[in-house]
Amino acid sequence: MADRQALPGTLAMSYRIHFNESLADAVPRIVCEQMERAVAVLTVPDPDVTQAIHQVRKRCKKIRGLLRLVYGRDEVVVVLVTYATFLILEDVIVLIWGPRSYAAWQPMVAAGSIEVGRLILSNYDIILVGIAAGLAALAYWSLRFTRYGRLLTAVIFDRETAAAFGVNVTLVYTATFLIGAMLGALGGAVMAPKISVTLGIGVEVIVLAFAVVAIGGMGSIEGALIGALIVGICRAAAVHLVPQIELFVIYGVMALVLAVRPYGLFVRAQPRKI
Amino acid sequence: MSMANGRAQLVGGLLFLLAAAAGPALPDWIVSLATIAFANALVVLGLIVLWRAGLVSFGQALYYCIGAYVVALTARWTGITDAFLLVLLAGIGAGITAVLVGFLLARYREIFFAMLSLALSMILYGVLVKTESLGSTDGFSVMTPTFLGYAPHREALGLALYWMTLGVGAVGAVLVGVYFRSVAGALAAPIRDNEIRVEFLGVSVNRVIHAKVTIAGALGGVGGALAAMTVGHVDPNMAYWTTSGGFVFVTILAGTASVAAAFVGSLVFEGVRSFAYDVMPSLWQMTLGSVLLLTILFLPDGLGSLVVKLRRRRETKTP
Repeated sequence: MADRQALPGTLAMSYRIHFNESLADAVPRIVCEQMERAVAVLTVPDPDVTQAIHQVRKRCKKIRGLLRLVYGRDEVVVVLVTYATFLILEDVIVLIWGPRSYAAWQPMVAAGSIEVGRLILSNYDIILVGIAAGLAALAYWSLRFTRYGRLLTAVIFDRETAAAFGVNVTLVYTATFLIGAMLGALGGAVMAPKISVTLGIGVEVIVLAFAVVAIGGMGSIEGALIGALIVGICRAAAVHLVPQIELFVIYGVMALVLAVRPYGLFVRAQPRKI
Repeated sequence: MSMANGRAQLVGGLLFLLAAAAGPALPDWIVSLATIAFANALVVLGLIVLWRAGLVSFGQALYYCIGAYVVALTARWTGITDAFLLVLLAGIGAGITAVLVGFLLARYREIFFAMLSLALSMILYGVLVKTESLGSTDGFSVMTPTFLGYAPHREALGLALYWMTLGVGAVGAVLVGVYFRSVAGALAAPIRDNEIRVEFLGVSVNRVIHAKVTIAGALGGVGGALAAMTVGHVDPNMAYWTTSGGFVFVTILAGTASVAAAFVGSLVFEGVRSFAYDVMPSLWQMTLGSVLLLTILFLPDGLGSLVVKLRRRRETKTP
């Protein structure tokens, strides 16, 4: 198959990777060719502006097509790497702290309790609610009103466009991952006095957190708040009234919500990219 | 392409016969290890079917566990012990579950699909743990299977199960191979690349994925049934997320390039696991995690890609 000859105005659309050429050579070569062609269209004296823009746009699209061919592993790889790390860290925990469980009730007892009418409330629980509300407000504010929050929103919305505008996508991802991990650790730390600290609590939280996020809608702070409230109240009610169905209540509510709103309560409609 | 395909099938067939013939000569523990590995390979085949469309199920243990419990409960309640009938029932049971679950699952992709399937398998785990009559966390034992009236014991039983698993595995591999060459199977890659384009071609992506979930579920059930008969015991851990994780692990190790890789990968995995469990029992999860990370980093397309690379190198050397 011969390369189509470039006629003036109707530039050849195809590029090819030669059989004997390595991918590492072919990709830069093709990108350079496409860019040269784009530059050539633009440097013609007295160009037809609309035509030129159209041609340049076609070149850019072809480069994007090429890059999509070679980069971009599946997003599920992230899940798998997380899983691998999880396996390793579980054993690290055993190595350092042993397989037995720990109790950390001291802060809870030290915080004492207050009586509101006939109810006895643990102060620690009230502090927890306060911490959660404060963190939610902080997350909401930083995502909406800080520079970093805007950058993150841009990256989430369209990674390629954000990168084209000069956003350091890798840095934003790394920072976000760090913040997420720190929030996770904080959640574990404040919950520790209320539970028995033992191996395997991580998975329970993953499944629970997923239920919350699925109900609320991914990427929505309001959603996470409402989802957590729904899951928490349903679970507490089930433990109180019918303890046998504790687990199913969460998934039951989740299935119900997802049947009506497949991607959660507060998720914004995603544009479909063709 | 067709010649290479034909040769691959020939090699696969020869390996199959070799594995079957070697059975009586191998020590018991290898036979039982290989039986479990090949039973699990069937579940992995199902995962490969999903994976090719870009879907990872972190809850394949749901079907595995259902298959195992169908065998155990059918034998317990009706007294049926015929292995072939039990495996068939397990496949049907898990398949029906997959059809029902599929109505929900087929609408989701990526991490939603992974986590939702995980949640479903954890529900089954929760139910089984809470069910005292089925032995709760201890589970219960499976009656010794018979094979069309033939009722072996001890070593003969292990060997019979080994051959049966090999046979069922071969049938599964051939059928999945046929599916991959069909239109629905070939649609997997386009769906993974760009679903909307496939929809514009007039194909219902959800329906294709529903079919894939069902196929994977039925394969999972059959694998679970064979494993239950081999181990002789079922317990809720078969539905636990670590079981699912193990299957995903093998899928990464094997890669999705070929059907045969599932069996090789599963054998390697069981080998590594028994070895790690034996040599450093407290660190086997860490060993597995490290192997998994290394595979993702250095061999992202799995063991199967090694074969492809070798073949390509030979082709470039002898043009």
